[in-house]
Amino acid sequence: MYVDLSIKPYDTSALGRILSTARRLGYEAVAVEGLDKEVEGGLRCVPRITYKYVGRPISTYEFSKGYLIAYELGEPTDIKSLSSLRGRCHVLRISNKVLAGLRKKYVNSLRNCGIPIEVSVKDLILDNGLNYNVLRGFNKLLPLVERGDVELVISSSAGDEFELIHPLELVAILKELGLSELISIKAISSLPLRVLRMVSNAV
Amino acid sequence: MLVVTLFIYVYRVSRKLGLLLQAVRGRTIAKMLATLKSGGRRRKRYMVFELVSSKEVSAGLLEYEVRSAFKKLFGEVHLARAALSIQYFNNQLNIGVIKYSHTYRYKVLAALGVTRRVGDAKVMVIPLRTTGSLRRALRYVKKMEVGVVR
Repeated sequence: MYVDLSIKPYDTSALGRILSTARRLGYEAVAVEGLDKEVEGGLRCVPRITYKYVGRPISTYEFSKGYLIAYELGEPTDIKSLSSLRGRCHVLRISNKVLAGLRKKYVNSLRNCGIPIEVSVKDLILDNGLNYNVLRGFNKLLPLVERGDVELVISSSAGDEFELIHPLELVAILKELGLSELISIKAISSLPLRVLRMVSNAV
Repeated sequence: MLVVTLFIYVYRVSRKLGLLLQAVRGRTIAKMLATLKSGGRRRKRYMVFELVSSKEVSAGLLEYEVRSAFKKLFGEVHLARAALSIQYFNNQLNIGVIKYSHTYRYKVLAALGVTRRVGDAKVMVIPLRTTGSLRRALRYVKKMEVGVVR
């Protein structure tokens, strides 16, 4: 069962096409930005909210029950103070700017925060190839993921149907980057599924 | 008494050592044979794929983009060894068959995954099935064209 935790349609008409393509690719659940409530159909759609992290989490969460809550780190220095986010969000999204500027001390902070880390394929791929600058930071993260210190979730952040990626191709890319096949599959199936279960149980 | 105990001890140890050596030898031989088998012959594989694209795409241009993506990721040596080529492509249904060497399965999949643009068209490649012969791949394609497999 494959799960994509981040879909951001460019417009409302694109959402239908993305969902039908995702179903063809074998995804069984997706989290979509801009949805009001959970939708069940051929594909399970969960609403998602992404907050920009500005040093501390937002104070109230009453309105966002049943939503997948993600915090996006915009700067590498944001990684320093992540302990306040524990229990406040489901995933921690790392932007390409953070990945490009990832240092060893920040990597250690990521290990201590204990929240699943989300990386987008869209950030990794550039011009029919891989983004070298982002890949350098991503490679620093991989040994921690392989050891089990950091939980990695890979999502597509697709804006239209062409930005989705087949799960088999995604596993192949991660495997070629140095992750084991088992952990690559876990990053797109069991781990995001666990996150979705937390969302439906309102944890 | 001491001599008998020593004899039994030596017998046991030597027997265990013998078994261990045999196991190591067996494993080493099996490993060598596997290496020889896989290294000796590169078998061809044919992957049936479907192209989702925003515009019509030609087979030549698609092959060029997949090859250049593979070259960017893994270099020219691996590109030559992988023996990538598009054997068949139907422009109307956007279904094709790509040939590669069997040891390069994941590399080819990764290259297909990062191929996002062909010319000025946005594309996405969906791998459908892998076969060992072109005939069987084409049989699957024909079934899809007729509409049996969907």
